[in-house]
Amino acid sequence: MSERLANRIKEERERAQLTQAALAELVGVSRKTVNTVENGVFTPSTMLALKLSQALNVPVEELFWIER
Amino acid sequence: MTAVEVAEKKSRWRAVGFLSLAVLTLTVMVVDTSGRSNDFLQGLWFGLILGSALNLLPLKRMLRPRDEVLKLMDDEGTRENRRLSSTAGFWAAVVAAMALGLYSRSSDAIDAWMVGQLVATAAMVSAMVTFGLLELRAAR
Repeated sequence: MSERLANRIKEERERAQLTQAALAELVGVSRKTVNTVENGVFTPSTMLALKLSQALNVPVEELFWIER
Repeated sequence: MTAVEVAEKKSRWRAVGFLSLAVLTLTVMVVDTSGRSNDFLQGLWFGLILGSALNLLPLKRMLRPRDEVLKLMDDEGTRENRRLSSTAGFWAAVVAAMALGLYSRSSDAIDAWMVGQLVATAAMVSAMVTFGLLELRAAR
């Protein structure tokens, strides 16, 4: 059975009125990394997932979940 | 311009540069192996392969670890793309070496220089194309 890491970064980012570039600046990565994480292309490290959840002020388990 | 914007711009140029370098390396190898070989072409090919291999390493980041833009240009997303492109290069080299091995059993022996050229070109071109395309896709 295939599993993938789903996320609601886009919704939370838009709620916080942040662009991808602004969020990237907050967590210290490039905009393209934020873009690939947001689109589910790249699975972030635990460190980056926690930084994203802190920047968006959302618990990490609400920001990311495993989709089967 | 913020560091994120500068890194974005530079990363895009780097990706385009890798794709151009791949086309140039392949062109030089084709011309060199099609009977028009000379010292200049062989030197150019050698320089391109060496330059490409060094470019695939995050050398600037290693030399200037505190540079903000370089840090963004070699973040975890880029490192993943680098890893995937190295894997693509490895498999291209394996396939090229095996194909040349099979070819040499049914035809005349191939010059060792040419074998090296074909294997190294297959590895570097596929690694550069993979890296360039992954980086451009990520930047969309």
